[in-house]
Amino acid sequence: MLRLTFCGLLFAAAAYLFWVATQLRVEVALYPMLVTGGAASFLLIHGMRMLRLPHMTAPDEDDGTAVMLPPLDVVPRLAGFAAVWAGYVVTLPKLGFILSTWVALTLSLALVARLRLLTPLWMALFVAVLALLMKVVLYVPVPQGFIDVLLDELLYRLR
Amino acid sequence: MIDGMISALSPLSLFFAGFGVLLGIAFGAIPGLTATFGIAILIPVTFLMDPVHGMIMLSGIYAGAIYGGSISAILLNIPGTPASIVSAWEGHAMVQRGRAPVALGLSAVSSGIGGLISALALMFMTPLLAQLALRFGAPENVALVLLSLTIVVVLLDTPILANLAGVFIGLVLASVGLDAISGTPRFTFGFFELFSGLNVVAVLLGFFCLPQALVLAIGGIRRDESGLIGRVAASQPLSILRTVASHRWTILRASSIGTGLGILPAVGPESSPLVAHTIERRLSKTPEEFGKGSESGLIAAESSVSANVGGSLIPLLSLGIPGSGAAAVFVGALTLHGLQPGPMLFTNRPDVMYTFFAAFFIVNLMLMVVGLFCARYLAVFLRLPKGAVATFVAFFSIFGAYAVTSNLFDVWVMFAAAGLALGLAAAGVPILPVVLAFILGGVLERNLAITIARADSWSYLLERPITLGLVALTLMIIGWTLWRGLRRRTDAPTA
Repeated sequence: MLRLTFCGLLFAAAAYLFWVATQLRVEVALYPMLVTGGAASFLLIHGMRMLRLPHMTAPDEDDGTAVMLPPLDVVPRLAGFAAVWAGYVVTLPKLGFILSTWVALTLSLALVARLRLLTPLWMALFVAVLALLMKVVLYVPVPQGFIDVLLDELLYRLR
Repeated sequence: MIDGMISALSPLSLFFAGFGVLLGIAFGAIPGLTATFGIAILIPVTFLMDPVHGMIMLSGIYAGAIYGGSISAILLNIPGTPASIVSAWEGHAMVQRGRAPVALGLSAVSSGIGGLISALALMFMTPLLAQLALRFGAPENVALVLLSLTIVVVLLDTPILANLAGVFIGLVLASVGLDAISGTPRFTFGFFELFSGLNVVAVLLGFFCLPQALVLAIGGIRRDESGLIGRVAASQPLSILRTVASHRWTILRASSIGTGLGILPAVGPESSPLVAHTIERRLSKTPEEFGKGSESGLIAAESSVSANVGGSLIPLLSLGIPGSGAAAVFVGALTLHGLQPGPMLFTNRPDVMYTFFAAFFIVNLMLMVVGLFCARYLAVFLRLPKGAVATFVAFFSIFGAYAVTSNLFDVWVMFAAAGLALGLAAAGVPILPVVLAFILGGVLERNLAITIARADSWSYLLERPITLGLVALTLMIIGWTLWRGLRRRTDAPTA
């Protein structure tokens, strides 16, 4: 059932993109229509074949259904893990690299691993070293929050 | 070639080769992390390096990860990568007989030698193929891409319809962006960040790294940790080398199989050890020992899987066609450094190519030495908690996607790619055709447009023997597949 559902969703997405392609100018639309039409067609046939052959719809232990259908006891923490990292991307421009990374790493470890007393401290050290590496050695620009600005000022004074 | 060797022996090149090998072994040893993942997550790091050093490090990771999967396979019967399944059968059986040091030593040396043989093939075959490819025009490129995609569709174990769906999905992803001829935005939905198409690195990270982080997170939440391992004694190098020497024909056969299969786009390192193991068992005087701790079986598996690494890089560097999923990810690294994989790489940057060939040789030598003397120490990576690994995988994936263009939009692209990868897996559509079509889609479309524009009649194509040959080969493969399918239906018992 899960396989059919996702096959259906992918087919719907491909069909929508086919419709979007038909809105383009004729000379530009041909290739996009060909590839989206091909994707939609083969997904439809693949889905219909799964309906005819029930063994094809059985989940395989090695495929992505392990993530799409996790055991119920795992779902809240897994959802929390995903939310932490999605939230990390949202808060990165606002809080800056150092603070948002430290919070995300600590929360993530609390959700999916054993959080010991010193873990937040180790994570703070890791993030500090990484931030220094970004600024001093690798010159990778990272989003700036108030802690990042403080670090920049400190490094400037030390030079 | 000599300049390349000198450059590959520079201290920095040797450092990156060794660092890549160690990192790769660590990635491969940790169950759940693969060579493809390791390359994908470290591509953004190579952005800050010289292109040749970046490629050396990534090849070290590739070769190291393929070997590293054998460590957990042998010691714990848990293949660290899918390519180590056969190593688990033979190696773990040897461990149970108290021969863990021998198993680890044989694995290291035969991996190294297999890799060295494929390095030689890489060094000599790639320039020859590239010379041939310089004669390719637009029609030849179209025919070659179609042949590669056909091979993937036909040779993968998954249903052909699913593989075809995957190919077309990959082509759709590749068509996002501005039309190459008219400049009309396609599937950009108003996002100007998509005008230049989907970021290759972000998509590859989304396909290979984030879903794995989720799988590892599940393992971490369930406290599903690897079994504890005790101390492993040191291997006896001379004894190991004598044993390997007595199996020299096994290594040669298996390495040839691995290299040859590596060249085919659909046949990754997962299939080579099975084929080599099966052939070796058929040729062996003691086939009953296979699967129960056979030295021949282990040597055949290890050397073929390492040889597959070099083999998969041959079509990538000479023709721009990746020979495996991990090689496909390599394309991301080359693209990041402004290097277009294919025959022009030899013309534009021969220094990079020949240094890379020499360094690949050195990488495999290092692999042999590190594996022979340090494998038992590297087994410590097996003790890392899955939850912690999941956390850092997620962080480095996000940071990697961001760092390439310093744009958070690419991180959202990565999340979308991860969602698509999970959806594809749940729908039973394999990821390899999607990745291959995504990488080759741009080449296909551009060359198709040029071919159509130039061809005023069929004679334009009929006068090109290479195109005709490639098309004939493609049609033969399609015909053989259809005939095989029809035969299966007529042979199946009727209800």
